[in-house]
Amino acid sequence: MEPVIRAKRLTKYYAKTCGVEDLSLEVFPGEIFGFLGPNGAGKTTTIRLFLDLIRPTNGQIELFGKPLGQLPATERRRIGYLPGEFTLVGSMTPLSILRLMGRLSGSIEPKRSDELTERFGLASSLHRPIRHLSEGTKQKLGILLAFIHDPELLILDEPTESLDPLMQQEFFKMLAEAVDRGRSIFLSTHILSEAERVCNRVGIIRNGRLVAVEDVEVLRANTPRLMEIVFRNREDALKFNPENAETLERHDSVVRIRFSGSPIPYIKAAAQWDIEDLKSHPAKLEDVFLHYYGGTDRSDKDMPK
Amino acid sequence: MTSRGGIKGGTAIMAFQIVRWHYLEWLGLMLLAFGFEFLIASMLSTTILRQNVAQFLSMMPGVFQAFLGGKNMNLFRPEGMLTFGYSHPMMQVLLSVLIFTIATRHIAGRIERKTIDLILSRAISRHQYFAAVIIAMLVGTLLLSATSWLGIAAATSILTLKVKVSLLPLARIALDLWLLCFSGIGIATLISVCNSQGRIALGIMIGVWVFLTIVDLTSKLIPSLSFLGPFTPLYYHQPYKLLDSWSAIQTDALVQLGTFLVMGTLAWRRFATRDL
Repeated sequence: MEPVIRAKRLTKYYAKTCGVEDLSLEVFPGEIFGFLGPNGAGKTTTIRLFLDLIRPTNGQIELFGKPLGQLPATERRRIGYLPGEFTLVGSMTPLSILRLMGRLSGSIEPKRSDELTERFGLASSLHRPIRHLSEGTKQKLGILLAFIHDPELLILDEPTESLDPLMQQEFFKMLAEAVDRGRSIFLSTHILSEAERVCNRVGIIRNGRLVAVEDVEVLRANTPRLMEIVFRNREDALKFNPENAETLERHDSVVRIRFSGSPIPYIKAAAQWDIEDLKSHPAKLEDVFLHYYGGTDRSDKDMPK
Repeated sequence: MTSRGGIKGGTAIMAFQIVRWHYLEWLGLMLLAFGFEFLIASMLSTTILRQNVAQFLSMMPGVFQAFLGGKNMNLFRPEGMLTFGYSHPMMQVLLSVLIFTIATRHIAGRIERKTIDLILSRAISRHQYFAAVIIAMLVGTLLLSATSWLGIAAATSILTLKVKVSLLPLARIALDLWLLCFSGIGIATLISVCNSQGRIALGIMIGVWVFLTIVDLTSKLIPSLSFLGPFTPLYYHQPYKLLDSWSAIQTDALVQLGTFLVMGTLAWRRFATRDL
């Protein structure tokens, strides 16, 4: 299957500062690719490279099977982009922005425009100057602008920022519907639960380098798990010392361990003694992120209480 | 993506939008230009006032006279008096405000705030966007120059002037003023595309404009430095020379359009290849 986005050894330096280095990835039709990393990791730089807003120092980008340099600007009709900032002029209304963006995208079906406006509850804000709108409403408008021409590829930069939980639900539904129609989505986020919820694959970027590209499930499986065992006797807790697990804490009759893979051997090992309670924390993407990001400073707060 | 090949009519759509964004500011500038030229023309209705003003101006220090065209001012002739309105820095300031505002806001300013991302993520090419900004500036300056002439035309038809005024030479001068804008647009655009911060771009534009004005004045005031004059586009804007014929406009047009083409091409290439 021909990837919608293909980046090969992509490198971008701003003078001597590294934006992105040696980044290679592919996004396939019908998938949601999560692009995870903290602020400043290189997510927006990568997106702006994909959109030809900045030029790579090295490496190649292909969109829809063609090198980026050979694609005419009209091909941008096939892309829906949610940028971090989309206020053109504060006095513009959402309606005038929609019209302008529609004209610059070719054509927009009025029916789809009306449907999405209704769905996002923007109908009442259409005629208000954008400078008077809340951050959440502006973000809804940004999402609307990305989806309105039903593009083949959606590139979304921090899409749920400022959205209330209800709107987030609606947004996730829209993502699912887009994927059902065979659309591809490149979703940049630092909210790991968001990627965990909607993405098929996730790329983790750290200091401009892509440190992992995995299926979400594989990432979870490779991630250390946390387990808290409460023994009935303090002496038993002292004796509990399983192999291949890291003991994070031993306090009175409570032992906290970190391990990879199946929890069964550790449950069996603990079952040799009287156990009062046992909690195993299924791997969260947050843990995955910390793992790949080199976070070894996990503390008790990672353990569910 | 290539810098070319955008949606059909993309330049016109964007240029029209820029005009829409700025029409109120432009109306304000046009009102000032209209009012200024109207006031200058209204002086013609009072012979005594005209003579006094002419005498006053001819007695002004050399630096002011140099600003207004030097000994060629020809203020005792009605059209010469009206030429004063075009030699006066007021019109250049108004036109500069328009040019600098558009060049700064829509190139360096948009790059700084990254709002250019939203526009260029659509099917409009970089070249189309650049052309739209240039067209908007040309339209704005044309309107402003035309309005200044309309101010004179309105005064001559509304007020009872005691002298006969021919409007054709003044139309030539207004056209020449617009031609001066071409080099201004070229220089301002080049400065704007070479910067990623609106304020810095604006500061450099003002600095360059002041520098060129000083060079022009110096060349007029100090005979030994008169060779500097031809190096500034302002030198070629000599309204009083256009009172009687079109011939002087040819050199001016050549210089202003040449400067526009050179600066504009450099800016065009830079905008097509730079990081936004």
